[in-house]
Amino acid sequence: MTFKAFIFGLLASFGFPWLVAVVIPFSKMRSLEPVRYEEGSKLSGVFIPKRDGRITEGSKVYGQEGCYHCHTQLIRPSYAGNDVFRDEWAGLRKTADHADTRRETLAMDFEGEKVAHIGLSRVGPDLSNFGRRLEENLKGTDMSPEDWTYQHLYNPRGLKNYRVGSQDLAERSSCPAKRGLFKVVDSSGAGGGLLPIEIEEGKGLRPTDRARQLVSYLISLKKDTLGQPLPEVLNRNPQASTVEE
Amino acid sequence: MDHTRDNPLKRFTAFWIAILLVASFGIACLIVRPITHARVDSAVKAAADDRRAIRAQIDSAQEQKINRTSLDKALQSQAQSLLTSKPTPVKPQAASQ
Amino acid sequence: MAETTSTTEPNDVALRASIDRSLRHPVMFFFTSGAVWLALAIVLGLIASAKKHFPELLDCLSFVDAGRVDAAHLSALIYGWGVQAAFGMIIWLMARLSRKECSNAGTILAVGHLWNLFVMIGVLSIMAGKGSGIAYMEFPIFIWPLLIFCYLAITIWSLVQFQVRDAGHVYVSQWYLLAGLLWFPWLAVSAFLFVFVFEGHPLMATAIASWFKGSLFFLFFLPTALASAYYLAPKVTGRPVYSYNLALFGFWALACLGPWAGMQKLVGAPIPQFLPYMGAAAMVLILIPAISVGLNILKTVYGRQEIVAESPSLRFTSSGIVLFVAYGFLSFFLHTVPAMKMTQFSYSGYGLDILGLYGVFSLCAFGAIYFIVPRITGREWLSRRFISWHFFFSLYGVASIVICAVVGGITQGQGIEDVSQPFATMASRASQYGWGVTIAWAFLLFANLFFCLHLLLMWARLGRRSSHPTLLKGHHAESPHGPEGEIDNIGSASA
Repeated sequence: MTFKAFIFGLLASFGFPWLVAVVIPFSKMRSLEPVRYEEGSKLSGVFIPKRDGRITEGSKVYGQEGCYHCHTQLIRPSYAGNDVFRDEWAGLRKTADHADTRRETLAMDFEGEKVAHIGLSRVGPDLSNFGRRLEENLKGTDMSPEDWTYQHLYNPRGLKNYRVGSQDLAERSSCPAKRGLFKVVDSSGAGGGLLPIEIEEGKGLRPTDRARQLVSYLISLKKDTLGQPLPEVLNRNPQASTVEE
Repeated sequence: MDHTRDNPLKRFTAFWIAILLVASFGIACLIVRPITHARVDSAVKAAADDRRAIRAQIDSAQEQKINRTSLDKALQSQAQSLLTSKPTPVKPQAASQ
Repeated sequence: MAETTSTTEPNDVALRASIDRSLRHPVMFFFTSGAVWLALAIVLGLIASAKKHFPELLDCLSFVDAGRVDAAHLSALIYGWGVQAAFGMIIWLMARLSRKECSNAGTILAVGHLWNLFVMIGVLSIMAGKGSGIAYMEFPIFIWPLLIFCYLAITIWSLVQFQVRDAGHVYVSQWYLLAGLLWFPWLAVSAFLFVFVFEGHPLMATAIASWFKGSLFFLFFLPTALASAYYLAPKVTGRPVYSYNLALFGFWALACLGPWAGMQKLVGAPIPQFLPYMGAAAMVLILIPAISVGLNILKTVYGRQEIVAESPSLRFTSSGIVLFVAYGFLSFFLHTVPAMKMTQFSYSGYGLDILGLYGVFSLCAFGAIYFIVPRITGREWLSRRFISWHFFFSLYGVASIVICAVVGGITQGQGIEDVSQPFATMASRASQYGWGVTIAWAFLLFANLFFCLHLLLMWARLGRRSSHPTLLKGHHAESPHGPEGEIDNIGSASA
């Protein structure tokens, strides 16, 4: 094996996957063709999942806090896993109020984020529809999604008697606290803006900017078809609604 | 030791060959950049194009319905009469309540 | 890989000694600072693992918040320990095999300090919550070009040494060294540009960062470990490498498969479907080079078990190679399509990573360090017991981590796939395996504190003044490493 042959072999064996797995897919994914609703469906125009909140900044904080080590944001198609069928991960099941809203993750779901936080492991649940679950589960209670999320980040096991269905959620949470996202201030003279979370006597809790961005991002995680039906061409789940009902 | 293989010139060329090899894929990335960054059809842009198309439709439909010349004439004659008429004071009305 | 000249010629001995002297400072620096980073990385790994099943641990210290500490652990392990140990091995091996003294020791040493500085800034940034937020490339964006520059300034001299080497045989180790030296910057620069500089789809940023991390093991750490194994196995046993053709095959199999690995973490993601499955295929097929190299190295040392048992370098290296074969089998089973449904998002991937980074690379690196350090310091290791403890606790620790993580991961995966099982039930069952992983990290910490201490003593030139090497079994009348005064090759002393 001569030096020239060696270098040529190295360049070829690296260059081919570099081209085929990195360069070309990068180029193709950069220019995905917009998907349109079909002729004759109730909705028209381009399909863009709309998200509401501080997506870009919140996504950055989510990454910096390393949430992707324990949480995923990927509902895999059924050939790759059973995520679509797990309760409330992919959306809501059919009720009297709405059709089945479950769907798998789409490429447009990560619009506005610099990097898609697919996640590395599921020590904690998948968060693709965290906002949706929270909204549903807090219906009829007097807690807002923001307050629940702030409480969860500050002290995940502090939500006393908080039940969802038959599960007492709070006590079983193994999420470590993220106290660094909050500032403890004296409650007198604080001038409002304190969170409704009890800590010691005379002290109150104020979220940092990063906490606010993160909570806004987390609450915006609603990647299902409620209010945003799929065009037929993207619908791989026969249960999910493709028309407004 | 084989002295012909190791001299300052050989070392100099070896250094630059090494730099070139190491940088080869960095250079390749920069070469393919114009190709990979050629076209972007974002959904947001397509939706914006849709909205602009609808706006253009509305504008042209309105344009067609409006008779610009008679509108101009009417505006002109009204403008003329306003210009030539003298402003007259309005008698204050008796207080009613 | 037959030695064509007698290795006991005075010229050769003098040349080897002068090579060792020329690069003493940078190589010792890399090994020592690497070992300290390893201890730190293990502490961080311990905390990261503990927080998964004992979340109240240290929750008052935001510096070691979960998530941040996981990223800091892996970054410290890879860039603090792994790359620095690799630097030491590459510089020494390339110099010895090319028979050239190192004439840039000062530059390498200075830039080595810079490398440490930048890695430290990177790890501290991650722990302060100021990382990049991108999985597997968590250092802040400005650190990457600095690290790549330092890498070049440290390793370019080895590439030059290879090109001006004495004419003659090119050793198998040199193929691996040369390839690894080129692959690292090719990977790093491409990944940096596509993830941080070029604007693209967020999913591709994730995919390419995964590709970088996956390929880095196969294209940098593994070649360095194998270069060391292909050097030490023949050297210490005095026999030639078992098969040249098998070595050629194993090298090119790795070269062809390695660059595809990495994207298997994104199975089911809305990216071109072939990408994660090509990654999985590469992980499945890595068994082929694993078996080739395993066969080659183990056949080379076969029949000389007593030397493997006695020589610390050979014992660590052979264990590393055996674990490489185990890695191949584990990777094969974890990346079949049905297995991936369960293990894609579980502890199993972490177990495989640790088997690779610690079981294969680090054990081979320890073998190289136990061989190289006496030669460059001119002193022998102080304590046979320290070396033994390091070996047994390392082996036990890495085996425990891998078994607990893989079995725990399969439990996790089965629990998630079974949609009738509530998530919380599965999570609490899987967390029990987390305890196993945490305890295993404690064993590894114990092992490496001894290693660190031993290495620091050698660095302070407090080793034994002797040319009889420190062996792991009882006393010998004659040393398997050669007669008194020649501590390099046993060929002359082989019975």
